[in-house]
Amino acid sequence: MSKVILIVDDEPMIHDLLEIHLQKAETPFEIHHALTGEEAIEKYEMLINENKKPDLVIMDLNLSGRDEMEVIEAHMEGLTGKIDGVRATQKILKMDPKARIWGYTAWFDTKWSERLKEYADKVIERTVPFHEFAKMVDAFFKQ
Amino acid sequence: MKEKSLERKIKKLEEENMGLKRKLEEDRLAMLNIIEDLRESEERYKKLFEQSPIAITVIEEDGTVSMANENFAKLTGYSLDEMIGQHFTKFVAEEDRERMMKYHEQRITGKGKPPTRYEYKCLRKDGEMRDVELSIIKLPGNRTLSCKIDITERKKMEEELRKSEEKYRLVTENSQDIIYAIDKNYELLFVTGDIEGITGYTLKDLPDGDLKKAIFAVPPEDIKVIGELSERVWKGEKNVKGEFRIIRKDGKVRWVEVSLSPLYDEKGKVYGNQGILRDITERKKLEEELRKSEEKYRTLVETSSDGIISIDEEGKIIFWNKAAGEIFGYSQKEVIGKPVTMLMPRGYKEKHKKAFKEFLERAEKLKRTLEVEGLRKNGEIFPVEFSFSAYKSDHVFTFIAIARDITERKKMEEKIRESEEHLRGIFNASEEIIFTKNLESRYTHANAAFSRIFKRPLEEIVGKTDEEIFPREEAKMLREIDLEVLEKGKIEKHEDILTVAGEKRIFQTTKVPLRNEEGKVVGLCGFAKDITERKKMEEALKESEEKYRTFVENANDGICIIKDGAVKFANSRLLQMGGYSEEDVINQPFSKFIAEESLDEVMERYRRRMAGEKVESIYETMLKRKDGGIIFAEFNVSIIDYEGGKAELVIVRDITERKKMEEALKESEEKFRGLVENAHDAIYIITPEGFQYVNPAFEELTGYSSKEILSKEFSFWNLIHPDDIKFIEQREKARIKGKEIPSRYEFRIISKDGKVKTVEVATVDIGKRGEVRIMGILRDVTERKKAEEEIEKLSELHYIIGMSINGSKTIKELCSNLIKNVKEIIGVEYANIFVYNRSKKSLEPIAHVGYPKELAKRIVKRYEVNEEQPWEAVKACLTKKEKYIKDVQIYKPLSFHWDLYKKYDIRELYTIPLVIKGKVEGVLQVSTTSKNPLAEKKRLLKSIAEEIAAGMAKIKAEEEMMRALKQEREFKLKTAHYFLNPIAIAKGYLDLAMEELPEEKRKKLESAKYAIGRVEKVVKNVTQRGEIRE
Repeated sequence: MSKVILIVDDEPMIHDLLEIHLQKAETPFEIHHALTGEEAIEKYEMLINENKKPDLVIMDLNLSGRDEMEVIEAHMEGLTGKIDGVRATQKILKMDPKARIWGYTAWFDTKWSERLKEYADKVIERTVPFHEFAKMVDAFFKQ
Repeated sequence: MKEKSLERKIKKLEEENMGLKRKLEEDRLAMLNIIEDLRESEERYKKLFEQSPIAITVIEEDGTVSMANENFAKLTGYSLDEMIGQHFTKFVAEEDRERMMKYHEQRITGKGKPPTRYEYKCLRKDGEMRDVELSIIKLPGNRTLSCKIDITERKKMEEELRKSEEKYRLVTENSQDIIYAIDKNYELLFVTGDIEGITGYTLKDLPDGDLKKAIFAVPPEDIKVIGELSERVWKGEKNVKGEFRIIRKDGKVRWVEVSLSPLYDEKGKVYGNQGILRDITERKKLEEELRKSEEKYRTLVETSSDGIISIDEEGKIIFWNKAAGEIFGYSQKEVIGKPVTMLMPRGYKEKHKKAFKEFLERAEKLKRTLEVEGLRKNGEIFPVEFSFSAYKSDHVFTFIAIARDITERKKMEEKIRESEEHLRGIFNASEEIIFTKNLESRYTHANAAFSRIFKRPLEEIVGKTDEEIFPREEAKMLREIDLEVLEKGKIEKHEDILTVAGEKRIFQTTKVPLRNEEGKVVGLCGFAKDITERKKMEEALKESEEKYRTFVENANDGICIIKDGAVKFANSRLLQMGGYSEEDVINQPFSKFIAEESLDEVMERYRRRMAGEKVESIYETMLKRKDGGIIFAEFNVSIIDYEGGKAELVIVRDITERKKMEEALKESEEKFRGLVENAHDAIYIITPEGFQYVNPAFEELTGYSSKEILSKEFSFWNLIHPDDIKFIEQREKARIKGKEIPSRYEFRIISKDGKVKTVEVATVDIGKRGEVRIMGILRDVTERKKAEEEIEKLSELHYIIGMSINGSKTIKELCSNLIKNVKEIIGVEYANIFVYNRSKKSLEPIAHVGYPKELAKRIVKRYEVNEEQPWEAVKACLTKKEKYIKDVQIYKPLSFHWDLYKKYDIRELYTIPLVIKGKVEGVLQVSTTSKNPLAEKKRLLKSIAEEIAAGMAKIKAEEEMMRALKQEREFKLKTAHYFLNPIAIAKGYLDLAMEELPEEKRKKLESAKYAIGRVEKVVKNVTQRGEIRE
């Protein structure tokens, strides 16, 4: 049985790299992608309905798809109308309190990261290389 | 009808015909008029032609003369008939023919432009040439009409004028003078001559070409001269001459002479003047020199006291000066031209004539001085000395006689002669030895006394030397003295001991040099007196006098003798005492030397003593020094007989030093007494029996009067504060045992009114020979103590504040900490701190202490800061000055809290702005109850306010810094996160790429990965620590 993984990140290249490394793991993965918070919630619901409830959500913090500091700040404070990583996590948990969500973000050590930690199972820094990350995921499912 | 119309036609034609006829007639008449006019005109022109004063000819195309008038005939000398038909060149001089032919041809052919007016020479029938001016016009039919005027005379005149002009021009232009003409407006009409030579200017130098400026560059003082000269010329005066100065270009002043004449117009009116300027500076100089020289000689002659008389060859007086007039009594008028013999008495006239004649014959040089007799106007004959000289000028002799009236000299000579006789009488009659000697020290004269005293006849003296008269040794000595007089010209006074008839005798001799008229010593004159007897007497007296004098003069006391009220004698010690000289004192009334304040007493004593009363012989008095100073003197007076009368012998002892010492002692005592009495420190002297002395400061300190303190009942212990008695007693015991105790220590006393005062005492034992006598100085150090305490409190406070500031992270914390200290340490009941919010313009309460709730509610609140607010805190904030209210209960603006103030007994209110670097940071407000006066705490409070302000400023700055740091860190953090995603991506792809490559080709990518790894490390450091480092 392959495990279902939902990657939520506004950076397509991250999706690409994560998928490549996860595919190399021993555990077989079925990988789904979401580039925004809204899409992540939608996909998660859709996957439940398809009876493919994700076994793990990999969640980024900044889901604005932009790189201007002011925009990111506003986004993270919920001022842009787009859903950020924390809110997306909250919504998914609301939908499925048993959902497993890992943060994997460049914005660790920020107050936003602290906020995410309150909901997510763990938050892993983006400085952890992809292959290492993939190993961690693999190890998690082997337990 | 037809007829009628015909008739009308005829009539009309007739009318027309009549009109034509009339017109024809009119035309004919007009024609006649024209003809008549023409005729008249022709006639007129003919007349004009014939009678014209101008010579006129008409010349045909071929050059023949077809018409000519009378005047032309006159000009040429031909008749009209002779001229008509002739070629015009016949009447032209050879030299002009060719030229005029050319003009004629040009005129006929119309080629070229011949002149219409020119001059030529006309050849007359008689061969004479005339100058003619010709004016020519061309007539129709190639004829020409020429008008000629004879200009021979004009030409001649012109030529003459030209020559004349040239002559003048040459003269003027080469003149060394400046010649000019000006009109009435002083405009220069004409100028020439050596302008540059005289003025230094050239036309070039004067930009406007105004040479007038150069010529009349006159110093201001001379402008008047020119004005006056010009005025005379304008009035028509001719040849006006004057002199003035001009300033040359180089600034030098030159004298010029101007000669001016008027210029007349045709009507004989003066329209200008012409002048000739000549530089006469050199001439002036010469004149000046001559004048000076003349003046010098004239002065010499006129002021000479000798008469100067000039005589011509005929013996007539030609010059006579003032002095001559004074000598002879004649005025110049009376003698000029008269024979010189008029000045001679009869006997001389013939003699003169003879000598004069002889001289002229011989014509030799004359220079001679004669003493003769002269004849005055008043007939008086007088001796006169003449000095004659003669000089030849133009072959004629002029004699000069300089006459000097020697009447006076003669008289003098006579007098001298008389005097000499007189002196000779004295000389011989004198009791004193008188003699003269020549340069060889040989006696030339000696008087009878000499002969008598030295017992030698005069013949054995005169012509002899001292060696021949006196023994060798004595003669040698005398000669030495002689030499002093003769060689050095000194007057020598000395005493000689000479042997007279075997006996030594003493002579007092004076030797005086004798001089001739030139002042040269030619001999000496001696006076000698036998003083042997006198000497002996003197000697005896001297010995006796010496003895007394030595005593009197060496006495250390002044000694004087007073007789009849005057000082007759004063010894040198006395004189020295008073600074007088002997002349100042001797024969002066003695009262003059007594000081005014003692005068009456001294005079009284003197009077009584002289009257024979018994008066104390020794007494003190004061004397006056010459310099005005005073001497204290002790007189010891006794009566003596002196110079045949009663006199006072006074022995004067100078006791000034003694007096001074007494005085100094007195002064010193007064000084010290003054010091002690006026000292701020309390001074006392105490013995085991009690206080002996206290000064006023002691009375003031203790509140007891000196009477109380010095009374036997009063004890030292009365004063000591009970707590300190033990300590003092210990000190006293230690002292009695002879132990060393500190000479300075503090203790407390209680004054009469019960006040406790801290005093510092310094004691010294001033007792003599074992007795205990302590002098002490007490200083009230209560204030100092208080100040010390205050300082202590202040430093404690500063410490606490310092701690508070360092221990407080926020202003609120700081203020809360401090305000408690303010209440406790300074001891105020209520305190309140506000912070000034600059942007909101308000005072925000931040900490308060002491206020009960109901009061705090009213007072501890936010206040708007503006001019309208009545609150003390707001006012202090705005003015940056502290505010103090002595009693808030009666202070109007705050009186609505009156009930509460009263309830809590709040009186004083002190409001201090917290100011740092001129900016108000807040306000400290304290208030106290009526039991707790604020006065002494103000200084402390102010100091605390400063500290609070400083603390507030410090915390503010710290907060500011923290905020800045936090911001900076956040900024770094956020930017760092930017990098992490791209780095992760790059690293991820690199890893993938490396996996796909064989081992040996991975190297380059390894390096890239390593580099990115480094960047990642840095970024991580930033995100985690806010530090940029690897």
